[in-house]
Amino acid sequence: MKELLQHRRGLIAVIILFFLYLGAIFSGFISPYHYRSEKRLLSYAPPSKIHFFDSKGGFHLRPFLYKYTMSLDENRKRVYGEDKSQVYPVEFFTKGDSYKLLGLFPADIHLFGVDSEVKIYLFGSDSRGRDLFSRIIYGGRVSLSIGLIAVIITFFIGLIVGGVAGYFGGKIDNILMRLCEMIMLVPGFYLLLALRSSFPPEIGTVKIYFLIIIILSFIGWASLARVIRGIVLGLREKEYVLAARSIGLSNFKIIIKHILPNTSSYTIIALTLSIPSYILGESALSLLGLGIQDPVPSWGNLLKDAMAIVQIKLHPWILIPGLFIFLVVVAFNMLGDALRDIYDPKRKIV
Amino acid sequence: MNEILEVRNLKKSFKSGGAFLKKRSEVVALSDISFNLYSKETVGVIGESGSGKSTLAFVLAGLYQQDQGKVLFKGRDLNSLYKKDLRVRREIQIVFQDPYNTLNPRYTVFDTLREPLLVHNIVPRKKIKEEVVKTLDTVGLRLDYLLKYPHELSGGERQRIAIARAIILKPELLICDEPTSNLDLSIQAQILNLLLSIKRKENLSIIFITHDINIASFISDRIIVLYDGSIVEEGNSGDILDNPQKDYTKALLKASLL
Amino acid sequence: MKILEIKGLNIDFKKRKSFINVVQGLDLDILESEIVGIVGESGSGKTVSTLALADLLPSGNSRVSYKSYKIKANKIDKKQIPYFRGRLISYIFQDPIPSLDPMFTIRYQFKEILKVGSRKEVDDKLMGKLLLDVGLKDIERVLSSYPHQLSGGMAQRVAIAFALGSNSKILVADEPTTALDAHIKKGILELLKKIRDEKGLSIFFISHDLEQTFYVADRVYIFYAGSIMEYAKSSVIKKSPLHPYTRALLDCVPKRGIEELKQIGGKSPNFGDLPKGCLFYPRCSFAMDICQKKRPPLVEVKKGHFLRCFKEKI
Repeated sequence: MKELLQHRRGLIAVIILFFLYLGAIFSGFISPYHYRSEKRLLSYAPPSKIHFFDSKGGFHLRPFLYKYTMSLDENRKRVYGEDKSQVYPVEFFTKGDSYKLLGLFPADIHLFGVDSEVKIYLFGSDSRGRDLFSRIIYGGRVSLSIGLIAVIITFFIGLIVGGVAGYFGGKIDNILMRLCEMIMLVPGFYLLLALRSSFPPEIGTVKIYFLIIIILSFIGWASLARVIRGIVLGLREKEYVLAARSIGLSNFKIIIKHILPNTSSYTIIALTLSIPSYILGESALSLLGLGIQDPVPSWGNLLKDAMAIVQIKLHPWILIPGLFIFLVVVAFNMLGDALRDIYDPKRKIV
Repeated sequence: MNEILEVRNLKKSFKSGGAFLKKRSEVVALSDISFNLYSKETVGVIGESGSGKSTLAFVLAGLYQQDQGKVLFKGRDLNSLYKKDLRVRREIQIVFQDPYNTLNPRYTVFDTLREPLLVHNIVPRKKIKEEVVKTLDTVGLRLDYLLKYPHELSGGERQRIAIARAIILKPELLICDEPTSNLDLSIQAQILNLLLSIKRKENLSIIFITHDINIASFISDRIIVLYDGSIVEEGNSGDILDNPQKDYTKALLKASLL
Repeated sequence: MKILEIKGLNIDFKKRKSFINVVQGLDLDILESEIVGIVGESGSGKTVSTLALADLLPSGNSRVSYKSYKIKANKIDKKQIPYFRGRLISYIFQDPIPSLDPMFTIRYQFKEILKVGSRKEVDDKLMGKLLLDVGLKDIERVLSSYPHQLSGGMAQRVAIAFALGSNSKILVADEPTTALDAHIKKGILELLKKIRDEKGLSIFFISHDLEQTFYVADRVYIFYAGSIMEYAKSSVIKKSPLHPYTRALLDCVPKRGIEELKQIGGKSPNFGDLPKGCLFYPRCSFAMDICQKKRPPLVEVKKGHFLRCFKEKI
């Protein structure tokens, strides 16, 4: 852990992920609005401008906003401006929409907010006037957790299958590896879609959440198992494994205590590097409408609005969820790189 | 003197090769090995690479099963003992050649040494640490080694732990597969002395496998010369060195003593 | 005459962020047509020093400097040393088969090496002659083989043939017999002596095996913890070793009939944590007070016999 923080890329990755996951855990507190809260009047409002100097040139210590003004131009397109008549300061630790802290405790204090007359849209708003910043923070809950949970399941299945196949060899190895190959034959994304389509399209958010996790881990374990099996084949002949056999340790205990722990340097890195593809898998499903559905946000389904080029041109801020996906994918990749560097045995000198 | 080990017509081959169009060839590692080991005796098995010495060690340690032939340990068939009776694993132990792979890198010294005790349950839980510390002392290492990991230890220290792991169950037969070949000369001397002192203290029988005639003559009462899977000559250490009968033995002696 | 003479060799290795000194102020030389034995245990600096000679240490992790580096009495700048690698100085390694490229036949690799030595005519006849010189017989078979198809002894002879083919004058043999079977070892040692005599080659023979070194070398250097403890003619060291470490090492060799080997207690010091005085002080049975405080210099105590020890007579 300490070495990770000393590694440049590792440190950056840890910082990025720390803040992203912090946001997901305390999503209710950090976002000014609940993800459902809408204001149709302010549909596709641009990001709020934070001011320190007012129209008369006076400096305010506390940042403030102006109220949105909305008018229609000759093409019936919305044009947004600012009503500079009144200054609305940004408040911290203010009361707002109620939510459940950590999913358990009812609360209504938010990190920051503004008088209810005005809306603070840090990243602008979507078609229904919902604060994109809030929805992105809430969206992190889904996008960041699905990958992690699915990877943990993949970990267990892959280790057990790979460990057993590699240690026992023979027929068991043959059967298990052919099974892996069958799964690996189908291109991942198509398998994802196929499995998803075999279930009804609308089954409720919670059920979809777990369904996605199961599908993702079902696709992922095969390649992990194959590599683990290869590593186990090598470890099986190591003298400390032979010593364990000569002591009379049972096969099961040998696999669990001697063989699998020594695959960890590969496993941790492989899993860390596969989290991004799981996150992208969920995002893709949600984007296509097969994953988490509106109104529950996930970074994938938030990008649905951005599917038309015209929308991006008119309201470029709807791409920001994509930036977050990019950020978490890069962060996990950097983390994986850093871990690989740290675990590299050739790193020790003399 | 009673026989602790009777080896009769041991044969072991390995199948190798076998690519797409190539037939699998058979490599004979041991062809018709027979010898006895007497209680409290040290037998040195001299062989070069390809002689089958490690295969012999592994068969006797229950890590390989022979194709043909019989081994009797204290009068009972070794194969069935290994299959049915866990106790034989206590009575026969092995020390390997490579000190750098002989310990689980994720186990502390304490983990490594207490595992045999946990498997065989011969020592009550409360006394395990005491037994481990005693054995650590026997191999000449201090208490503070208990929490160390293998990568913190030198080759010689790792080999001491390997020896400790082997003797903590108080075996009757210790098989040493070239335990000092990968060690420096001065460390080798330490380990050889250690093995001798353990042998005297615990009354062990030892099969010591090596390619080095000098080591074999130093440590063994009797010597068996192995070549290409067969025993070429056997006899007392002194006789083999002074009066080699077979050509291979003569050649080996001539080449080794410069 | 001295074909190679280095003075003041310093080697530092990178550990984490800082450099640790491993070899300091080492002097080494070798005459034409001479075999110099370098004896030491692991961590003695014997391999590292000779790798430095041939500029084979990884540049990112190591710092090498010389006070002077002379080839045939001509001073050579450090930047020019890489030029001599493969031309003047050749290296053969402990395990011969992995030191050859597994993807190519011996013939292919041999040709590649001979071209470096800038021979114009590279044909089977030339390669055949070199292979005969190193005692190989089945020339056609050897040339057509891949490295893994050769035995250890054959591969080592091939490696020596490569060195001869590149016209090197100096051969560094790093534990060339350690990985070979007992009755093959002697053949290689005889071969080294033969090429010293017939081709006038200078050979550094690195080993941890004293007996083999005495058998093959003219002069022997004893290395410990990155320093030379003693050096003299091979026969002199064998008969009357002066340094406590040398003597202890000789006592460590197992022989029949002795009850217990005189072992050296403890282990060699860690670089970066070297004792202030004599490097061998903590394990020396002849240690005196001064040994703990000051490091003894390398002194010529008899003609041609150099010793780094404060104790005059043991």
